[in-house]
Amino acid sequence: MKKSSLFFMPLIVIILIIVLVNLYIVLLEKGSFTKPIGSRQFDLFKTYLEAEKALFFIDQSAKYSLQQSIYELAKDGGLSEVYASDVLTSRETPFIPIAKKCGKFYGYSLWYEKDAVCFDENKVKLNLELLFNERMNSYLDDYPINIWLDNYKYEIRDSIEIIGRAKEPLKLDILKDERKEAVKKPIEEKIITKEGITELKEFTGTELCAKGSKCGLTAEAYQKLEEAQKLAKEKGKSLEIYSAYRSEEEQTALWGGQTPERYRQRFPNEEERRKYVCNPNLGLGECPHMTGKAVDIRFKGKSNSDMTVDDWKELEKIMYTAGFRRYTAELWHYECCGTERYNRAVQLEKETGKEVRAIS
Amino acid sequence: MLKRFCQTAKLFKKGSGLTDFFSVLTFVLVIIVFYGIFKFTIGGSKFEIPQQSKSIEDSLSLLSILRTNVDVDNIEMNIAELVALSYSDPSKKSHLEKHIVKIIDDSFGASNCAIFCIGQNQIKGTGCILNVGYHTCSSDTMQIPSYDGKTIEVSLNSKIEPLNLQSAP
Repeated sequence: MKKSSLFFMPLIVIILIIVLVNLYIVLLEKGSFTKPIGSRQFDLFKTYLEAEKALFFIDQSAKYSLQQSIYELAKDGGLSEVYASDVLTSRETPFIPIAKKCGKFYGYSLWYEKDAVCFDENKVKLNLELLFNERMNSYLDDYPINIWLDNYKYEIRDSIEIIGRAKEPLKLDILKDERKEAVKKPIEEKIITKEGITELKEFTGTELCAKGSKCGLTAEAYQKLEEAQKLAKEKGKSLEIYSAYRSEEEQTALWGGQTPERYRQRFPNEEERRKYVCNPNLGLGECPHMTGKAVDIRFKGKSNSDMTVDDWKELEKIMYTAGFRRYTAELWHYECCGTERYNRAVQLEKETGKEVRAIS
Repeated sequence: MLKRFCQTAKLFKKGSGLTDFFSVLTFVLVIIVFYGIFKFTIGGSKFEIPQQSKSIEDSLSLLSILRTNVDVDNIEMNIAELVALSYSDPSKKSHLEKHIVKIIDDSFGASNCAIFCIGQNQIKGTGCILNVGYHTCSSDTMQIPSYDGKTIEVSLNSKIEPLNLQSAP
């Protein structure tokens, strides 16, 4: 009898054990035990349906938004009453409705006041677009899944037909149950700015990022933000970022009037436009959002116009303690971690020995 | 390699009887143990394919119903708009019920019970008259916008089984 024949059968058994143990480990790592056979295929179907439902909701919302916007615009003599704090972030007059300068007379908007012309007929389409976008955002914000806000390029055609082209596609997670943790945790990405490569923490979809917004910050800024959130939670509040890192393309689109805010069309004069939006061609000092170290922030559950003076004061205190400095003209804009404005604030603190919570 | 393995396999017949016995025993034990492990780990979750299919079919039917164009006082609108309209104007509810019952009967047959729900308000197809019992709305809902900026929850529960009175306690 050969020795090899003696060990053949035990060898087969050992190989079998190794194979089964390996199979078990692989299946366990893949999470196959938690999901029954066929469930992933159904998840795929369900995600498709979820997308169909969301698109249907968007279509219907657009119909109602357009009807409502036309009605409101007609009622208001072609003028749209948009609060600067929500759409046009006027640096001098943050809470004044900038579209109206002459006010109303017996409920009717004035187009002229003495010699002053208050209404530019050419801006009716822009006003309609602005109002329409505002209504759309309000609908989309109520939808259970995260649909990007301000995500459409609009084109208004002759017979008041509005065409919206999405800049970013609707993103739905097919295996959302399995990836719950991954969605909640910020993802690290590399961004390329004019200064070089910087680590960017993307925290879209987390508690800190407003629904419908995309949020990213440098690791250092994100750490400070987490600290601020901790302080806010101690006071029974929660923070919400609605604008953080902007790529050069995004800022250029904003400056160039390719976003629903239509800054370029509303303010053809560049000097005037710079009151509301920064010019990306003037560098990162001018546009701190492009550094990933600036945030537009408020308390969760409140819009900018809902925030009271006390709320803003409390927010400022929290953000200062966490290491941010505010831009004086905007109650919602904070910077940290070595931006030009932040450095000036810190320098001034050293020189005067006093707290500098906000700087121009 | 394979040739060598086959040669060894042939020689297996000439192996020691005791080794063979323990090997076969271990082999069987390993299979049983792993069967138990796999069964225990997978056996925790229940997954019913017919139920899942029904949920998907209902969602697709619901989308089709909402997209259906109907005529209301000489104005063409889809069911979603009619739902939104009846939400703010209760006088349109009769139109809504009439159209939905017709669509449900055409889609699922007048003998089958299907329920269209707006929130918790049910609009039942003709088939539900014969189907005695308490009917529930589907938990698989869909949001549609209303004219006042809020969302309305709608759902569809089709092919509701007749109540089996014989099996009732």
